[in-house]
Amino acid sequence: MLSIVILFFWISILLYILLGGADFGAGILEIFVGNKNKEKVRTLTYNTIGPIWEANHMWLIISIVILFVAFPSIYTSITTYLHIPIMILLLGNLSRGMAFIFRHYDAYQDEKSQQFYNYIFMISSLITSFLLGVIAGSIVGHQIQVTSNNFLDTYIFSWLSPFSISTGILCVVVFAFLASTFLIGESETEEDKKYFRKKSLIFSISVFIWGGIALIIAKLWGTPFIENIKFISWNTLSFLCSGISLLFYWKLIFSSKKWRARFAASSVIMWMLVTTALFIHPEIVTFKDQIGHSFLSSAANSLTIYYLGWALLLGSIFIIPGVVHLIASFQAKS
Amino acid sequence: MDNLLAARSLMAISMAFHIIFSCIGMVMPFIMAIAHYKWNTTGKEKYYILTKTWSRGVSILFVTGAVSGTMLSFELGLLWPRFMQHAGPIFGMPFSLEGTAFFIEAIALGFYMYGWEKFNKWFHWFMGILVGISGVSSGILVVAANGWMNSPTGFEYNNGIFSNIDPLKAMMNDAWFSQALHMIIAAFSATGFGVAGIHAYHYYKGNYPEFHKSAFKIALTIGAIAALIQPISGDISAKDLAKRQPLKLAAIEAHFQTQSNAPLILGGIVDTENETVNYAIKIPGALSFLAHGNFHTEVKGLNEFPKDKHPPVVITHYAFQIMVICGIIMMVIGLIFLISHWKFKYILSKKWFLYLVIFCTPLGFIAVEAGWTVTEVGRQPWIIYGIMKTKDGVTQMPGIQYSFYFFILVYIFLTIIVTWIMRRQIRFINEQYSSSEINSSC
Repeated sequence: MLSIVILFFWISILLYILLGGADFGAGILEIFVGNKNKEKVRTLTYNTIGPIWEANHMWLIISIVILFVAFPSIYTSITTYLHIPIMILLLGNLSRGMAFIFRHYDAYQDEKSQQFYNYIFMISSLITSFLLGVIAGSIVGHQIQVTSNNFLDTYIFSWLSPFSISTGILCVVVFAFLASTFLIGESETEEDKKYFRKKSLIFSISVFIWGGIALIIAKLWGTPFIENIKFISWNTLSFLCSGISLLFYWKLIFSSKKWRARFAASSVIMWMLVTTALFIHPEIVTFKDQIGHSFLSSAANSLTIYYLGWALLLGSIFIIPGVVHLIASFQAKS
Repeated sequence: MDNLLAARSLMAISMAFHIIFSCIGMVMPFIMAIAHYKWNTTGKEKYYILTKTWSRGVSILFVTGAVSGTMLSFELGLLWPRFMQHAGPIFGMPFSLEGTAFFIEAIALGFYMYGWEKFNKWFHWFMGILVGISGVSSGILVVAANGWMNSPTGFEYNNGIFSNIDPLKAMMNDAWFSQALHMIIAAFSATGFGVAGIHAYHYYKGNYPEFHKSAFKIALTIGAIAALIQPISGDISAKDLAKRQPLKLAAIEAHFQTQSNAPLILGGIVDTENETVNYAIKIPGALSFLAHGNFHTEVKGLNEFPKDKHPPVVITHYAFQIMVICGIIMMVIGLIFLISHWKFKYILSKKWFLYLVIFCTPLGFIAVEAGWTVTEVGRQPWIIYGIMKTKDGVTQMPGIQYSFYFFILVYIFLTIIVTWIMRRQIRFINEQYSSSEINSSC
């Protein structure tokens, strides 16, 4: 059962990155498109992401619940040492969700209040995505300083580090990349398709570049996982898979079948996640100069894991068809 | 402000904020479904407008509830990591099931909000009901987790080590049923009265009267029925509390000395130093009766327990009184409404009655907040009753007070903006339709 729970954790994280990421990315994209295209992005986002955005964010809750039920030490070490960025993240998430809903359900669609919601939505999408990346970077990048006795090192520099910042930016770029890819398929006119295709090309190249920068920073600041790379290993292989997916992606965005490009983009991100997981394996939360927590070392008692596994399996019987049906119901007719 | 107090206050304000929206999120879909049902069956336009208006409200409030709930799932760890370290695996079961329930709720809401004219009208209607059903299930599950903190079970505890953990048994703890029942009914009466009060106000003002009258009638019927059955669940809770947490019951009643034929204390000023309540109305034997079903049974007083284990008596006692007063007022008004409306059909146009209903708008929510204050403050100094003290669960990170100050501002801002946006919803409807003619027969 433990392996089922772990599998569910990774699936939830992956789906959160893909679906939640496309959702965050839509907000980021709004910042990076010219004024005359902002409205286009908004309408498309509303039509396609609107119905599912609530569900998208449930994947985060699922992974958090899995952590605190099954792997409490992982959960509590993250919430203790990364308290500050998580607090800001929550605030970002709060403002983002509310701004998104307000701008569509406000009874009066006057310019002043709409502008206010848009502004909040864009800024909070950017900040939240950045912090998600920062938090993820701190967790996987041996940044958390558990042994230190002073406040700054433990609670600030555990996440405010060059590596975490680079993963923060990477996360922003990844989300924008996912969103722009998603919106290609939703555009109705050829002109719009072309526009988003161009955007997604730019962002895909940025993902490539920022991924590289993050690795270089990791190397410069002596993050241990870089030292352990062997040329022939599973993580090199999955890294290659990510690269190959990217090549496919560049070919597939010009095809008229929208799902192909989406799957290729998802595959790029999935393999990046796999590579990261393999880098830090068997740990999940890594600490500076200290052995971190792995799933096995922090697993709760077997009965808890057993019930949680069943709860997740039964839950997915309801959830997965629901989500699929929901996404399918609101696709643009192509 | 020390770290413990700051963490408790931050948790309290987050919960106080969240509970309002979760109540509405649980109940509003049902109220909305009634209007939707009437639209599907009668085809009267006012019901269509009502359903749409309410569903927009549901969306706004649902999101507020969802994001503030997400905050809470993190705050458990951000503020109480040492509690979650042990408690997570034990009481996590309801949370993992709640994940599914909430997921279904989000999916159903997606179908509902974006599904007008896209699906079969009864499928669409059912999606609205499903939002409510899964919302109530989530509510029950979360309260079950809280029930475990009051009535911990499903593990063995020796020298700080939790062993032999059974999460299913922990979920089915002794407190879950009475607490969940009381909470769900409270949600129905609070939301029913809250919504009715707002529409009563607009009806009184003469804005688009047919619309507000129908809205007011549907919501008040729900609220009134819930308010009338709430005392039964309150009685179950009292008897349960007398068995499980006699100390909490004693604090609620400011019942200092153990005695048989124990009086029920109404009002008064609690004097903790002299262990007495001054100027109060005391009904002899009533507490014995409420707690044990017999006027002469002995009820344990605070004196039976060491002082360092007492919860703050003053807060618990007053919070309880506030809850009961609000409950009684709503019950009386509910009764007047049900009898007179059912029997004579004229009460809705009486001004004095509208005043009363408008006055009741916030009462249900005040009662909910007060009730949770009773449960949570009454459990102190424990975070896991009898097992772990709250001070042993708090985070080691210093400076929580800054988060607290900051989030107070955030919540105040949110309250203002949510109120503002809801007012705009109603103003819009009033402006849109006050002059138009809609054929109706109420």
